[in-house]
Amino acid sequence: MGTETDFSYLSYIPTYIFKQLIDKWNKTSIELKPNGLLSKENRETTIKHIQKLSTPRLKQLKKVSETLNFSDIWWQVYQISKIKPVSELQKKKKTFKIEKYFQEEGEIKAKGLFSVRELNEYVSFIAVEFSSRSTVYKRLFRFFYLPSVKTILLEPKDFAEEVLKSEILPFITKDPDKFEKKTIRARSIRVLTKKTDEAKTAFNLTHLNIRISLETSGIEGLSQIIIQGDDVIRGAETLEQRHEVSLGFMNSGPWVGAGTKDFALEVGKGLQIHQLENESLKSLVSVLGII
Amino acid sequence: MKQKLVLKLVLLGDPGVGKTSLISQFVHARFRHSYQLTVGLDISSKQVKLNDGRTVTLSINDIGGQARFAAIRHMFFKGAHLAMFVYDVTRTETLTNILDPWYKELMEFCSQPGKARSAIQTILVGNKSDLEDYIMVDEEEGLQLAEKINANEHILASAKENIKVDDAFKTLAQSFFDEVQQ
Repeated sequence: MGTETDFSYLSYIPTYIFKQLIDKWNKTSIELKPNGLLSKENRETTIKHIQKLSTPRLKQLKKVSETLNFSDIWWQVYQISKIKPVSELQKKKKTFKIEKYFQEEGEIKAKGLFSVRELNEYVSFIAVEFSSRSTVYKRLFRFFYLPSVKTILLEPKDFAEEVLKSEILPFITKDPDKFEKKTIRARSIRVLTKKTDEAKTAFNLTHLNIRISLETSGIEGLSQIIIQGDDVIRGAETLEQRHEVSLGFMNSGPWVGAGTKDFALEVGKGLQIHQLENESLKSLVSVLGII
Repeated sequence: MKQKLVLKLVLLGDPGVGKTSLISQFVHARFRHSYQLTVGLDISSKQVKLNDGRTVTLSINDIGGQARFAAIRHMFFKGAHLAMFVYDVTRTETLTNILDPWYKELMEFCSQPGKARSAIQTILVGNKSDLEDYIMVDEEEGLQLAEKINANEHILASAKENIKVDDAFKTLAQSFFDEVQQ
């Protein structure tokens, strides 16, 4: 009995990136629905093309999936000013010396390579790879650049903020000293549920976390209430109306976490991105535009 | 003999907004982290110095915010000179509830027939302002409501960190005399 191939890594690759790669490699044009490579509609086509790929291509594809695997990352949001267009950033690959980041670890001969991938008209993905030939060393720093909302997202890890300040900001803004970390606050989560000038429609939240403080509850034992569903705000409102009751828990504390199928926000943590399909990226831009 | 001025002050607002904590901080300079329900009414007092140097004693009436006290709390409104409406900046509904039931209830017992403004002087206080990341209410929303209920001021305070607590009580006491002088 043969073991079944694990295709789960494909879920991190957006359909349009997969399509671009397959079209290029196989010199053909494949049709995929923009809702995930392993979705019911796409799974058969995806696997059919995967099985035709050579081992080096498969390795390349796995590397793309590793680079785009964001499932556990809480991105930090930075507001920047005087941005440069993405086209300007893509003109050349930038390499820089990274020894300064490792002064305490002795001499490491390594280089940093900066690359930009335009995911769609609103979002670019910036990767900075540190690598060394003399020692086995590889490190990847990932950023999302959203010029339309003057925002850059940073993956929190050692040196990432330094890389942002010293290498990325001078590259993407005309005023690299002017940037500000944006804190996710309960107020931002409330705004997501409202129709505003910036957000023409309110987001359908699939989960909402309500913080219960000791000052409000009186005793320890309950710290958070989490509600889940396709549209929790509408769901809670409708439940209240139909049963003519007040769901007091909706207002028993600040809303400290919320999410949709595309993203999640949490006070004190940041922003999580679930997928990079086009519609999800549009949704991400709207969120960042209003928080 | 010098006349002793005593003003009766009532604090109104939803359960858990921090009415008792504001009083505790103002009167005793203390803050309790755990929440203890106010059963019916608690009265305490403290002297406040006004801008002209006079001293006034505030008789502070802490009224339980729970719905079960609704039937009896109007009894404590009688003779009140001042009212402090308190909401929790981390819970939006506590602000909307200021208008109805709190303001509405107070006006039923304290409004003056034929006058647009009640004789009772009021202030709106948004408590827990130290919890910056958890704030759900915009300052603008508080200001709008303060205007709607004719409150003399809208103050963002924190009983826990003792931010603007004294200010809130003193401003309210002062507003009574400012109104009398007009």
